[in-house]
Amino acid sequence: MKDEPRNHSVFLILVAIAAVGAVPFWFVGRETVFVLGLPLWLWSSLGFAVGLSVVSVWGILRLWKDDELD
Amino acid sequence: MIDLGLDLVFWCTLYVVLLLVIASMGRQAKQNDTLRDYFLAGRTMGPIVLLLTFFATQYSGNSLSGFPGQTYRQGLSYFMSVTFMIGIVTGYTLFAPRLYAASRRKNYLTPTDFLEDRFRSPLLNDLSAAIFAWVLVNFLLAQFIALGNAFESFTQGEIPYWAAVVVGAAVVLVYVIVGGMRAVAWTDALQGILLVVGLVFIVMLIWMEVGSPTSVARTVQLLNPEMVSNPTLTECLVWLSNFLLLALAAPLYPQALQRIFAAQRLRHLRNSLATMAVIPLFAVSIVIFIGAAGLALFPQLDRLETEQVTFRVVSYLVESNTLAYYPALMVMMAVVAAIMSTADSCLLSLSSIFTKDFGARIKHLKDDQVEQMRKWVPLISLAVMTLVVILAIGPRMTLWGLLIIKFEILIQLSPAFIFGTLHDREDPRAFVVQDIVPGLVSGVLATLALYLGGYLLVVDSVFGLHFGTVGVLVNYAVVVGHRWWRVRGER
Repeated sequence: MKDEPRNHSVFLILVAIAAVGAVPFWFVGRETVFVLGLPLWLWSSLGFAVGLSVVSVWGILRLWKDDELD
Repeated sequence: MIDLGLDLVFWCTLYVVLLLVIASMGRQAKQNDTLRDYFLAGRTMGPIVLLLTFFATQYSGNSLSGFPGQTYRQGLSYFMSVTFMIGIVTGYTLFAPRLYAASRRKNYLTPTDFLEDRFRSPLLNDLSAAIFAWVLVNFLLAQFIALGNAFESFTQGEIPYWAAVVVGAAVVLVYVIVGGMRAVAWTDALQGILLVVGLVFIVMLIWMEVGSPTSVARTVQLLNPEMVSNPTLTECLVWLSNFLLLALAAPLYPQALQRIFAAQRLRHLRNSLATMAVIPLFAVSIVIFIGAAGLALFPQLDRLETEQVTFRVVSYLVESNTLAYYPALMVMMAVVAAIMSTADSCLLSLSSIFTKDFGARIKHLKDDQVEQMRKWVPLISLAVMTLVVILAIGPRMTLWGLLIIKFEILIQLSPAFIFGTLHDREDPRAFVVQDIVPGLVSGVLATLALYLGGYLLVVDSVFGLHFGTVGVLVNYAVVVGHRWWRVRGER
């Protein structure tokens, strides 16, 4: 095994930020604001979900290396 | 609701014939009559089939009927399902690279083989095999309950629940026995395509007949503002707990782990998983859209009716536009396909666990004698399916309840896989079975104790955290704490 995503702290940190960021904690107790027809918290969660997806794809395709099996 | 009756039966019959043809092709393609060829398709799974089988297995009947129901009950905050479905793929990155490498070297058949190879503990083997079996029986049961409900709803009771369960179980049993993993993976590929086509049709139909996501959200806001308002703190904690639960537990599904073992090349596995990390942004968003459309169209459903919200929405679409009939039929077929594709994977995996982890151990067979069990596989599959059918025809629960109970137990195995793949067995820093088993037992006991306490106090979470999430935190704390204490003692 040459490399794997969990060996990279930047990968783990980005995953944690995206996963926790997707939870709309900072909208709790506030009035619901609509942007482009959908609640703002939904746009925010969608943005972080896209981020989580991108980070996961990056980890799988770029940080997972195995000379023997490749 | 509309009655798809005979049309659905006709198309389902054609579909079943196609499944059986594929199963016989799978049988003809077998390279030898070994357990590894039968359960892992001889480790020859290519990129497209691997992706579609991952997709069809991860998106079960619950995704198409349970998720919209949950969206209906909870509102748009169930968008959390998009994040946790991506999180499942992220969860693989924590152990899959080393697990795949080890499986190529050691020729694993079941997930327990990894634990046996890594920890050499009969106790851990038995505990993990029992947990895997419990989870799979539970999951298989959920699929047949969903299948029975689906046919009963689609045909307005013309096909009774029990008949759909019995016939569905017989069909899955036959093609799994005939073709093994090849049949399961190839039929999963067909079912995955149906699922994609069905989802595309349904989003187009809802968009045309009910409105765009923004107009649906506006209608829901007018009818029931709480369903689109900012989530509460408790909902946020449930969101976080769900994410942890699914990201750590769902990658441990035995059938998912066996797909990792079955991948022909590492690049096939990587490409499939990378695609799976993107799919929820579309597929789960569509499923939430179905639930939101249900909220806009039928604001007064009771709890059990919400489980049928997908069928109600599709019925509405057909009633308002007759051109939607055949696309609706396709959507219903996709629901049936999603259920069957998950059920076949569960059955195959369960049969492998009963054959290898329980059967071979009971008969005290050594590794090189395990192939003797091959002749027992059809009988074991039949016994498993009979048990599940008996359970499915018994009293009903809501789908979501079943899903949570299995994840909360399965997640307790995550330290064994995540820490087990961290170091080689010989590495002095490695976690050992004396760290893992106390954690596993503590986690399971804590979860069960919380369930009992929750039952007595009529609560279902600890400040929004699922009982299994609390249990796994206890589990990790015990494992890490025990290792720290052990290493300190050794010094």
